[in-house]
Amino acid sequence: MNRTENRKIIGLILENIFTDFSKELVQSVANALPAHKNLSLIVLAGKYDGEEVAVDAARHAYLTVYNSVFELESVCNFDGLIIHLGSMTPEKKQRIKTGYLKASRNIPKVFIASDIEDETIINYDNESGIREAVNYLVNINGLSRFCMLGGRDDNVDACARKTIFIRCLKENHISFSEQNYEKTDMSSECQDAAEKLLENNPDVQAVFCVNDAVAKGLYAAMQEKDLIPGKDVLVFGFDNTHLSGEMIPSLSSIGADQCTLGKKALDVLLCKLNGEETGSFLVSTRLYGRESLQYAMYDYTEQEMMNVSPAFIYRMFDDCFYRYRNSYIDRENVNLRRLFYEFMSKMLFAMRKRYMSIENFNEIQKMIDKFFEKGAMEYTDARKLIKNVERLQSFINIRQKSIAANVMINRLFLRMKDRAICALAEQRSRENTAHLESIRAEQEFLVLCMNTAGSPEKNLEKMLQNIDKFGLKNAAVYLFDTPFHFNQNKPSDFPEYIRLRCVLKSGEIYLPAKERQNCHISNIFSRDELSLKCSGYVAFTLFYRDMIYGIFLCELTDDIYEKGDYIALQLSKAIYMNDLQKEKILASYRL
Amino acid sequence: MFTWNFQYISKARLAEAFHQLMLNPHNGDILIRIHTAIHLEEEAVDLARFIAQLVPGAHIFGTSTSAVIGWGKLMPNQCIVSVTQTEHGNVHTALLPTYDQSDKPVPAEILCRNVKAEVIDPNTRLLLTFMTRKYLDVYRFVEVCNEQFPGVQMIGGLANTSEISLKKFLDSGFVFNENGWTNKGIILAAIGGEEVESYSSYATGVQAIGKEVEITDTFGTCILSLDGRDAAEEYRIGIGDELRNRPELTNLFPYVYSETSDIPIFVRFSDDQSLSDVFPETAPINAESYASHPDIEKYQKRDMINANHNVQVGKHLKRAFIYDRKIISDNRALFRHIENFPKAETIFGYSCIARSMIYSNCVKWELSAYENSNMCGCITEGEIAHVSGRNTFANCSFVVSVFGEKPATQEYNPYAFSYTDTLVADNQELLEYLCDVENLFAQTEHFAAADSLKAFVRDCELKLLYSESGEIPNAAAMNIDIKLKGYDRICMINVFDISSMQTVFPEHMISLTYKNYISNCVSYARKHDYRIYIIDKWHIAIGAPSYMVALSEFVSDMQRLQRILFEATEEYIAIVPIFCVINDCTVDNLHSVYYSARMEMSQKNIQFYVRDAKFGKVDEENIRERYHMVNVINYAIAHDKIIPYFQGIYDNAKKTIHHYESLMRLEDENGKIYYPGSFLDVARSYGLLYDSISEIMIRKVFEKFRFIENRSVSINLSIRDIKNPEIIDYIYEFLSTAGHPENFVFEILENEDIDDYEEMINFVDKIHNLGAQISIDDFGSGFSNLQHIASIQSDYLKIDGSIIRNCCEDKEAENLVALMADWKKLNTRGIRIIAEFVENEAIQEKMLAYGIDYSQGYLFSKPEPEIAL
Repeated sequence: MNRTENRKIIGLILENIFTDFSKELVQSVANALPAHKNLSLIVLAGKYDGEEVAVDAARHAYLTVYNSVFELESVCNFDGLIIHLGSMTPEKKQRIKTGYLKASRNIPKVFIASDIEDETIINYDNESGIREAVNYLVNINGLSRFCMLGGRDDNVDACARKTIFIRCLKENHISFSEQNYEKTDMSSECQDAAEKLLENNPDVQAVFCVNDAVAKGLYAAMQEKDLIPGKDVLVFGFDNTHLSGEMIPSLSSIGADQCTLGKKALDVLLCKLNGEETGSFLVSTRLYGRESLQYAMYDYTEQEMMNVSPAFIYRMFDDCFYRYRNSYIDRENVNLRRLFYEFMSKMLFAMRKRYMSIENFNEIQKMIDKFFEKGAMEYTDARKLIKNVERLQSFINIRQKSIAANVMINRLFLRMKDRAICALAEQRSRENTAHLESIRAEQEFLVLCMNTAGSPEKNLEKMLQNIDKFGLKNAAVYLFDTPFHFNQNKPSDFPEYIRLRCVLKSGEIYLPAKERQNCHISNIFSRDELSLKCSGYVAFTLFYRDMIYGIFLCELTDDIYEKGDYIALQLSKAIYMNDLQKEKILASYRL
Repeated sequence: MFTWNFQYISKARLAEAFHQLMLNPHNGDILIRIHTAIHLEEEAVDLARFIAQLVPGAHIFGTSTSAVIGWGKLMPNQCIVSVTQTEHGNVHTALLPTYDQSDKPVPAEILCRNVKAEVIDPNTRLLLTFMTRKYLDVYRFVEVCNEQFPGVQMIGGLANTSEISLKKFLDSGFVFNENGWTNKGIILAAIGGEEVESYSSYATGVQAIGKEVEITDTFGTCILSLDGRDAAEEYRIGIGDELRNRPELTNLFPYVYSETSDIPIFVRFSDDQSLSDVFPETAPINAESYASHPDIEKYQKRDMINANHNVQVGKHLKRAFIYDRKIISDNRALFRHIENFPKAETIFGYSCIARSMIYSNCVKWELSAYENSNMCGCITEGEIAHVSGRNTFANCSFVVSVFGEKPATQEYNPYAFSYTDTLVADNQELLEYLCDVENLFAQTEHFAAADSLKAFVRDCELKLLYSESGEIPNAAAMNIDIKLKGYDRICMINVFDISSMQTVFPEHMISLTYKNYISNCVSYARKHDYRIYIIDKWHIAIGAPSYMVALSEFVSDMQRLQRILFEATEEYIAIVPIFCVINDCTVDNLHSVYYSARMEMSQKNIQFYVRDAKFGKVDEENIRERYHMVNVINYAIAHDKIIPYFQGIYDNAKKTIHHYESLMRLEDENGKIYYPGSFLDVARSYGLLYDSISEIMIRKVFEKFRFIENRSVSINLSIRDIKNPEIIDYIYEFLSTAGHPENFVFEILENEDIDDYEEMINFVDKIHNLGAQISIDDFGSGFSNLQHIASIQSDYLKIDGSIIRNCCEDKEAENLVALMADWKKLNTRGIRIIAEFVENEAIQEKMLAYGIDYSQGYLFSKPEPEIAL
């Protein structure tokens, strides 16, 4: 009844939320979202239940995705689900089939990177990217000794990547044996495996890591051995996550080419929602070259450059600012792609004509400033940009016909690098300030929670009133009237009703009146009170010890992956303390 | 070959530029052209000397001009320096006198020989020639050149200065190089070489009309007679007496030499001079003319037409107009050749002052195709052109040479010429006028032509010659910016109600306000680096490219401007400018989006609006559906597929069907049935469609029930029906002859459409008089005005279905039902209440509880095409 007409709620079910792959996936879905009106995204992620780690030797079992806490997707109203469940042991698969899929049978679903039979699945086309990388390394660099850090046997993609890698090598008549291969758990904590691989293969020339996180482990292992990635051993990973651009030296990685996994999944899901028949899809991949493996995605021919052909400049932009293509670009904002074209074409034109007037120089300078001021750095990583700029610059310097005119052009290139670094520095310092600020606010919140002077109900209200201290703009807190026990081994029995206790809307806090709080559990994601201004929420359970207190919805922001769980935990802890207090008081009454 | 153009700013900047270019005469001959509209003679020579020092060995070629062309753009009050460095070619330049020591003009033949001796070699391809205007034998000179050195293409003209006169040809132009200047000379630059290839041609825009006439008598530059008749009088009659006061009109009406191609030549008209004023008897150059006309009246003032060169008896002339369409087609033809020329390393372009005066946009427009090419040149007062393989002297032309040593292309603007509409629109009145005059001339009604000219000239003066907004780009410029420079965020600013302003305020107040309005907008736009265009009087557009300005910034800047305009009105008339920001527009959609936004703004009375051209306005699906519906309705009318359905209304007291409501259905060719919800709105919006189906429906229901005694039927009427005399008359007619008029109930929809209750009450009274009954439909749907309801003597009241449907769940809905039941009790007229949408027992129980008289709904009866009798 409360639901706005035509508004569709899409659930994104994840194994976890803190890996780079998950973050990238959430962002790619969120990026594709604004193109469709009336869609809101709810992210539900598996939760790490601390106690089991020690018990379970196979680290990944704790991420039991068919996690009884997260049955929300079958309890709540969703119009469609996008599901990424990670690696599949046969048991897990069975469990998903019998329990999970049954419960949400009628909801259109799209699986990402999975091999569940008879479902719509979006996978990477692992082959195109790996082939590009292998061909480059063999044919251009003339390498012949390759190794691979692989993944777990129960991971479909990891197995596929290994097979394809070996096949591509074979096609190039390069031998590959099990000695050149080492298994990992696909996380960055794979240093041991990496060390072992390096020891077994002291003359290795290039290593393919099954994902970017593994490459991080490899980097650590290489450091131990005083090996420099990109110089002593070429390294490339997979997924092209943000992490790859931030590593030092930056990591070449294979990633989605034209369309991200998330965007494709959303497109397919929307087709399904419209009742169209769809099959499974592969998302093509390619190699994104960085320092760990020098590779230019596009060749610049002299002809193109001298002709200042627009296609060439746009390609250059796509190479440098590779994230732009797959990001959601607000049409109302400055069109960075065109802006890049405008100043780059003027620079190339000047090179061709051997002359650049002061006016032109000033204008281009203004454009470059605007370009970085408007956030160009969000779409690239600094090292890739600088490498690309330097490459182009040297290209121009070799072909220039007038040194004097080229002084201007070089100055502009310098300006570009300078602006890029400034923009990055500003962003870092902004982030840092924000981080410090949030720590301070969180502390304030904790201090507030300690104060148990008032009645427990008053204290709870006070807590909710200060929820903005966590630096959120949009959020909602649902609490059950009585918390209930969580049992890992059996499905949770969610109470039918829950109370909406607090809404944070564009930074303003509203505590709904008692009679408006009540909400059927199926409607928690569709209440009108939730801000329409944010495209998505991440749902966290308020969960402490083995009690579930409620649901906490946080706006999908860039830092929610790191801090969402923490906030939920702090909040649950505070509620737990408050409840203790309540019990104490009750007990004293009884006495 | 390499060519670069500099706008001259200062010597220091020029030096810096030359430094960057790193020119070296050892690599090939260098030609440096200087066209200046800002230097006096000595200053120009000084500049030439400065350049000669910077680039020793360069060939310098300098002329004065009124405006320069650089990078394919027209720039008034500038000086342009254009450098062409050849690779293997050669350049020869010379500055020769055109008058001998006794101040006699050098005969054309001798001058031509001198030129040949100085600069022409067997490899010469192109000869850039500028003369100062005192050499009157220029036409003859160019003709002789064709014979002396055939195969050399010539381009150039007569140098002028920014001093412009409409009455006579001035002789203020000069040519110069580093060694000095002269206004009685010719400056030449011959470009040649084994590999040099060139193409030269011209575009004019002069449309010849009428019959060919022959020059029968001349006096120097003056044409005395044509076909034996007085030439000046012929000319004046052709244009009208207004010519005496408006000498600028001659710019519009040149002659053409019609022997080979139509080569335009200008004449100036004067009526206040005698022959001896124009051609001093003592001047040696005139001696020959006086000698050949011993009997001519020398001292009396007379009408005269003078060309800017000596005219020759025996030449054939035609009258002509400057004509937009001719400009367009000429330029297209010219551009096609230039564009396809394989060695386009350098482009020279020279255009005529005459056209730039009348057609302010013409020169800019024809240059727009060459924007970003290295075309450099200037405005001249007469052109030397290469036409159909021959060189000739012409006026009113745009002459272009493209040449080079190696295959090369230039940056052209291929779109420019597709926007001819704007050029035509800019000069629409001129065009229309010309067409009229053309017709009048065809009928040889000279006097009528003269009359209509007066009005034209006033407009011409206002809009074309002395336009105060000449500096601000116009709609054509905007279109080009949108298309080529990505100016896709446009804010349209307009002030309406000017006509009402004019009824109250004096003209000077309005013009003061206008000037203030324009200058506010212009200075604001310039300050914020936006482009501003004047589209029409009071109508301005401000543009920004999406790659530089975010929409939010643009919008807030525009809002601030609106406030400024609004606040700045204390000393002026208060105006309310309407702002409409259009995002992501293209040339094609800008006007339609603006138009639809305007409609919406005026409907909703808003003064600031942001509209996205791409999204969110045209609902194609909806439009398609509408047209489909219109087809269905038409089909139903034509094929008798308007079908009345009947739904029984249940009497809650007697427990039987009391009467039927007739409901309209349409059937399409596939037999699909349509409900009123899907077609009524469409039919209403095409009023006549509604009238047709409504009338058919009423007729059908009447026919069906005409002879039925024991069943009554209700018919829906809208206010439109009640206002339709045909329908009303038909109803009255029918009722007065019907056996049982009491069997007919008219259901009137109580909604916002009712604007005249008087009319309604008349209708109700009449119906009652005729014995039929009235029901109010959809009561409580939101529009009902209780007082009006009370005043209509209705027999039935039908409670809106949305209330009934919800009355089990929604207490408020139930309360409304209770309220109406109570009201009924108080009502003395015995009104009866009908509840529609009674879908289940629960609702029916409620209805019974409140004592509702009748229930209508699926619980009792579904609409069927037939009734059980």
